[in-house]
Amino acid sequence: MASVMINQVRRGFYLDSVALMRVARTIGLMPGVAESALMMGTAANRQIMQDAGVLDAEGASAEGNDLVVAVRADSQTAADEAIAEAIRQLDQPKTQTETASWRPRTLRQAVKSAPASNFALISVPGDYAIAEARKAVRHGLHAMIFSDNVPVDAERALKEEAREAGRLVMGPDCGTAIIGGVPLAFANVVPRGDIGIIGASGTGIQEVSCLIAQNGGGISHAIGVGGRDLSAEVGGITTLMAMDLLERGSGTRHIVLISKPPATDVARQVIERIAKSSKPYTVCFVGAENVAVPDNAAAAATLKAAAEQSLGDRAFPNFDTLPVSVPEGRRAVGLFSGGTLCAEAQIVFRDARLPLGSNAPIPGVAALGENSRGHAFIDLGDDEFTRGKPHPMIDPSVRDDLLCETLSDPSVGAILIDIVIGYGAHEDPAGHLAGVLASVGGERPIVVASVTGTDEDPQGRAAQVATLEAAGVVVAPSNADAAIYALACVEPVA
Amino acid sequence: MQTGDVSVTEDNKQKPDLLDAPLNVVNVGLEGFARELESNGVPTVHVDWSPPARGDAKLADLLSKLSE
Amino acid sequence: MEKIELANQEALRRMLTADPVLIDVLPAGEVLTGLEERMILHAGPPIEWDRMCGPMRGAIAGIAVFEGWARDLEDGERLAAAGELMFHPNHDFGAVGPMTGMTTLRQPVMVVENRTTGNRSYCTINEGLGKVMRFGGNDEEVLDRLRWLRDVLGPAMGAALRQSDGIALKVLTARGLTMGDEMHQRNVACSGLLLRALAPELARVATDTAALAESLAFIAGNDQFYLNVAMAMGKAIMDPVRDIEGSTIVTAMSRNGTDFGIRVSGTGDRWFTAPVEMPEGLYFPGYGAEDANPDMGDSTIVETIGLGGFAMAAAPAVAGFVGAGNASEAALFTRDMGEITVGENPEWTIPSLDYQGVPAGIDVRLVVESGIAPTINTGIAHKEPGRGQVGAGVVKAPLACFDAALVGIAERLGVA
Repeated sequence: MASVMINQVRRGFYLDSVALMRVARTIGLMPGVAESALMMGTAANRQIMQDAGVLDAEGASAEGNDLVVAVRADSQTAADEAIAEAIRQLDQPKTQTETASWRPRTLRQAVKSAPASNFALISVPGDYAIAEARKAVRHGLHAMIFSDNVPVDAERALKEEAREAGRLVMGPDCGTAIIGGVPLAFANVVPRGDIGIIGASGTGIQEVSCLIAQNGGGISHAIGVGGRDLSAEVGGITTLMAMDLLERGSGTRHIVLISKPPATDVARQVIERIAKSSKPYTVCFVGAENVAVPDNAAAAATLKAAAEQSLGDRAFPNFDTLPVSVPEGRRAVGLFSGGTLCAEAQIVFRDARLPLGSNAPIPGVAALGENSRGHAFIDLGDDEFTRGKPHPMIDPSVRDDLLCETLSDPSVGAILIDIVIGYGAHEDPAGHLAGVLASVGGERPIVVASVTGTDEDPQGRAAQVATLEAAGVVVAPSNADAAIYALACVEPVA
Repeated sequence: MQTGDVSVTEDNKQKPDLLDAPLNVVNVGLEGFARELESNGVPTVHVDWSPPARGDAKLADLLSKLSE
Repeated sequence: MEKIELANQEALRRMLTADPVLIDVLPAGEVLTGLEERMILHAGPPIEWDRMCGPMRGAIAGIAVFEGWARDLEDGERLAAAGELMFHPNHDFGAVGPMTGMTTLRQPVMVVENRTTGNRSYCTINEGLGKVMRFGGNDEEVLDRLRWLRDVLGPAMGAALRQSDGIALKVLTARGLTMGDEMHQRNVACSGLLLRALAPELARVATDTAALAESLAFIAGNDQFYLNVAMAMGKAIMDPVRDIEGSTIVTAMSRNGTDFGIRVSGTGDRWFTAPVEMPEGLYFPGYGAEDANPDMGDSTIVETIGLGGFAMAAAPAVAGFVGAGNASEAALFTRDMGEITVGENPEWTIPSLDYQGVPAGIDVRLVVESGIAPTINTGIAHKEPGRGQVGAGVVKAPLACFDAALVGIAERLGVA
């Protein structure tokens, strides 16, 4: 095959050897190019080009400050084009490339690069979450562990170590917190105010903080402690620390404590601590009956009642939409994304002494069996529904199948639904629900919902309510009101 | 004691309470959380995290023994 | 484990307080204790002839001729294969050598003394670029250059240095870093600075102006002249860091073209090895990746002290060897190395990183935990004996060495 060699020498032109090698590689890949070189014309480099068979008399005349552009190709055209491309690359104005920004790959290095760090938000898989949180604590950070599936003994050991170090560990399975006005993970944009919340439940914190916001109050801090903190195994370590923090802090006037019923010993410790507090408390052990509290505290049966009490025992405006009676014997079915919202609705039905089953029953409510034909409130955030799937607050479509089935179930008179918005939640859960309702024709049960959120949330509460109402959904101002409304539909007061 | 640092726990108690200082967050895990924090003006460092020791349980166990 | 943290802080302290000074050049036989006839020191962890790569074999044959042990290259190979030559790692003799790293009796070695601790380290004189023994070259041109180093430059440098106070390397290196050197692939500035310091001393002791001119021209014409100085400096800095009970700091990283080996302070002289990797790089005209030998040399001692790939931000062009290779991204390499080191060297700073110190003190635990392998800037040798350098690039240290070292230190501390 014919071979054409071209050398072009640019006198008095210097470029870094690595940059030159990169250009040489580029033109070396052009069609028909057998060999390419861009090198400063030092004796050593000329020897290398000579050995590679790309140096001609022109190139051999170059000196140390001259650039040799050399090509050997199988045609004149290919050689010319390669030289031209090399010259073009040398002469073209360099565009400033978007510089990739550096990211730490370990928590240690993150703290090193940002020494002011004081808080770690951890949402890695549960197998690794404790180790990362421990690193955070040892670097002097407080930690919020969003991850779940963490062994309870590991939780306790970590919390003990953190307590020793004076660091707070929120979680594991802590979905919601608001610290100094900053919403963390699943949380709503609420005004700052003087009510502090400590909650073992994410949606419980969300519902209470949003109801407070809707009724003119504000939140100092909302501290999540994780679903198991008040269990006997963990002993309420984080809850007790959070109580101390809010006690010391100046911005909190009233404290709301939200949890499912704690272990007896832990409840006693918490109540004792409340008794020593200088601040009034509202205690909402969702589902617990007969909670004895000290003088500076009041027990609230529901999240709504807790919000009302925190604002000075002020009853929120009544939900005055008239219930629609459904034929006798029809059931109410609740499809909840928030576990505590499901529990709160159960309280309403339980206290009305209605037969009720749930997959996450509160005390006094039956476990939902295969053939339960009574009222049924289902927590779709429960493990049995979320294993390997997104949480319904992130992806409401996981509720779709059950919803469609329920909509066409002739035994169902009312469907109770919670819509939770805010950071972390789906961008338009109301729109999604409206879409499902529109797809189901014919007569359907009454659908009653509440929207946990605020107008300042990314989704906007008012917009979500409007979407639901346009789809024929009855929208109650709170989850408790929605449950009361559903109750009135299926069990009209005689 | 933590890998690579001496005396971190000694420093802890001198830091202000969680509720008294503005949050400076290290986000380990879901990147969306970091974006939301940044959009709220919270100084946030996102960690480009992967399982320690490439997920090798035996090495991870040794690491924890040599770090504690 | 508190014992480890304290040991590592001590390791870092020893690194940062080292005071390496180039004080002499002498024949290896006069300064390397235990070096004998027919003994060849090579780069990397221990290796026998039958496992040696092409360029290592080429260098062995060549140096056997240079030393007068073999009549010709073929005879050199025969001696090696017959077990009539002894092979040992440079590191076991206080020495280091680039690429093949040949060190033998009659070669001149530069002597670097750590004035803080009094220990000395040794490295041969850099031969220049292209077909050279460190890249496996072994023809007459290569051997003639070694003879000239032995007969002319080595004695001249030795005489010059002996009547001076020596050349303090810590400050010289610091200046080079601010001038665009990272001391592995980039040594232009430091070579120039060294020449500036050395030239008057060479002139002072010169008796033959032609030989002086040759010597000055040789140094001036070799952009990598300082590499071997930096390597001896690295060895002088790291040797006192060895044998600190409990320390997980890497004291040496080294490759023989077949195996990559590391040594860790808390496990003494034990090598933890794994197969070497292939560099990613750019090639000289006429060569490509198919010609390349895997990673080789003791020169990774410079990464061990926080230079080379760890100081990539100081020499942004070097980032061009890898992937998309934007020079503006060089800082990412250095910052990544911060993930695996226990500290920074406040005396070796990088202007473009707002004078952040280079990452110093590789902690085996941090490497294993993060999965981030040390980045190494390197030359690339032809895989066949006698061919020389074909390119340059960047390579990662194999993580398996660090995994093994972690197990080793855990065993040593009784927690495995």
